[in-house]
Amino acid sequence: MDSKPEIIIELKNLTKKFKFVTAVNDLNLEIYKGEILGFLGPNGAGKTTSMKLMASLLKPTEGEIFIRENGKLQKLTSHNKDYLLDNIGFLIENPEFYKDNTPRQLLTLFAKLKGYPRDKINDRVAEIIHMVDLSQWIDQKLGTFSKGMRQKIGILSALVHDPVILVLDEPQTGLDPKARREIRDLLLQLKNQGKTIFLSSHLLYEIAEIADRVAIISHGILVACDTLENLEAQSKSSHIQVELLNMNDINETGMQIDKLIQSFLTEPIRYNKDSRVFELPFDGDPEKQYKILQVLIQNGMKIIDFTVSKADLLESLYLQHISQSDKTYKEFQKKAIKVENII
Amino acid sequence: MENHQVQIKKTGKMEMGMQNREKIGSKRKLQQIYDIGYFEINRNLKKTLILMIISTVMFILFVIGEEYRLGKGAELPEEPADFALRFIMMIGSLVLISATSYGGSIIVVDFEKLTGNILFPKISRERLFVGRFLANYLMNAFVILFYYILVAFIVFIKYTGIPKILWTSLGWALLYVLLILSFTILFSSFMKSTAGAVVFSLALNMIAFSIIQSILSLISSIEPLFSLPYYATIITGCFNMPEGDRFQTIPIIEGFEMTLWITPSPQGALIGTAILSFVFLLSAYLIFRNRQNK
Repeated sequence: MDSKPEIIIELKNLTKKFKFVTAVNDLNLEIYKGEILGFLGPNGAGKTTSMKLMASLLKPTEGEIFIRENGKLQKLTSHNKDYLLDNIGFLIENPEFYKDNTPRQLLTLFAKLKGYPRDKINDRVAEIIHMVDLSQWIDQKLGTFSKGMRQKIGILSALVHDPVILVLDEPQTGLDPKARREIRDLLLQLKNQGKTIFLSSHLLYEIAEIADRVAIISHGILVACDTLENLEAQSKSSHIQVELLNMNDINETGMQIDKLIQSFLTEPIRYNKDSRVFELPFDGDPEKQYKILQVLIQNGMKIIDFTVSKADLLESLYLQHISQSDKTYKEFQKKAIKVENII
Repeated sequence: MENHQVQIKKTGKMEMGMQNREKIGSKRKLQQIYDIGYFEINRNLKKTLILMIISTVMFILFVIGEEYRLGKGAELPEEPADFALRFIMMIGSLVLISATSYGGSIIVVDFEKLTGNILFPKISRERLFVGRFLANYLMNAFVILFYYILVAFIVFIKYTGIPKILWTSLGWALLYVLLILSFTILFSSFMKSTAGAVVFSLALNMIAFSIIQSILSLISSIEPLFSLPYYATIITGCFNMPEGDRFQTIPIIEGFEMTLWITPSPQGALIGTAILSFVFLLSAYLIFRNRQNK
């Protein structure tokens, strides 16, 4: 059996140039069926432009977009965009609505526009509203909704026509922790229903918690795309957080740990006063991670927590890739200026 | 990898849903325009109601004025058309108020409120634009039709008959609605707020065009077909057609006279409205598209 995951969207050499700016530069990206792909990048990196290209709101300067339909990857063109884009639900950051409308009115409209069978729309709207525990709000005016509730309605508006793929731009930005968690749970629920989710966000923790793979874009260029584990292995940089029971002298304990596992470490041990954990920098090799744990336990360390924090890992990987990309970009700009001067 | 296979199996249900979806084609495109229009009409019901109240108040004020005149001994005009004309002297203003209030929000409202309807529309922006335009035009036309029905009603009571010219006048009023609505939509496509689009559109129609038209009448005899308020004059001017003069020449000082245009010809009004409306709407669409792409 072929174990290669099925590609549901493929971006091939996608480039979008505006007058003086190349917003997206030769972007190659495959999105697999049923996965959550986190799309990361600083402001102005080209995330929203990429999404607009996928939504066919912008025409690529170069490159192609393929979307799977009827078992085949089909090239997105102006002739088949209505047909292919029915497979996708889009959500922009912080969606706002007309205050006098109710979720029922709005979602019914969106379902109709996207060609959902008309005789099933009422049931579909009730079903998805129930999914986010807003059934009692279905006929209330959207003007009375909190930001978190509006965000949920935003996601439902992308979901109401039952698309296979969801493209969500910053769905958790500006929400309180409870609302963020609810959205995270909703996204996981959708993934479990078989939806493919392409998720752009600044909130690294949220991405780290739910994404199967992450893609990092900077200056319009895709600088990394893989699972967190693979990126970690490629970067050869990670750290384990270790929390110990009943620690009397931090310095002494630190020196003791350092002595025991020095050969596995890439940098000296750090102690985080806020979270009261030792941070052990290593190259991310799971074999070494296991050996470190083994050595510490064998030497009587009372370990109550031993983790590689996904969010911290993603943050360090993100910063590493972005700073590398910034450097390359600056060098490229310098060279370009020199060439211009010579000309 | 196993994970992916499990998920693929689960999506089977979703794809069943996809197959039941309405087919893409002209029918669905028209259906989308209809759905957008229907939603837009519902969304603007309050506005329509307010404008109908304004129309009714305007009508009642005219009725009171007429009854006062009759009470003071004035006689009812011989022709019902002349009586009807008294009620539609201000129709240009009603069109201006209603068309600017409908057209002002048509595009800018979504940029102002940051709704996803414009940034990531569920359907193509062309269909969104057409649906909204048609809905707003129909609501606007309904308000004007409502006013004419009130006028027809009072004329019928007084004369037991309604002159045909009243319906011709309604036709010109509806054409003027198209012109003003298109002009306001142009402002809505690039202004930052609905209020801005309404105010600028009103100001240009009430002040700027009149000033330019007055200056032009002093220095040239060119028919002011560029001026939107000029097209409103045919709504009442049609009552005097085909006999009435279309312009007057007024001597100011010796050897110098000004040309005062009263009303455009039916052909001129038709062609002028069609060209200007088309240019306004096309420009609005192109600006909207460009703005969305930023």
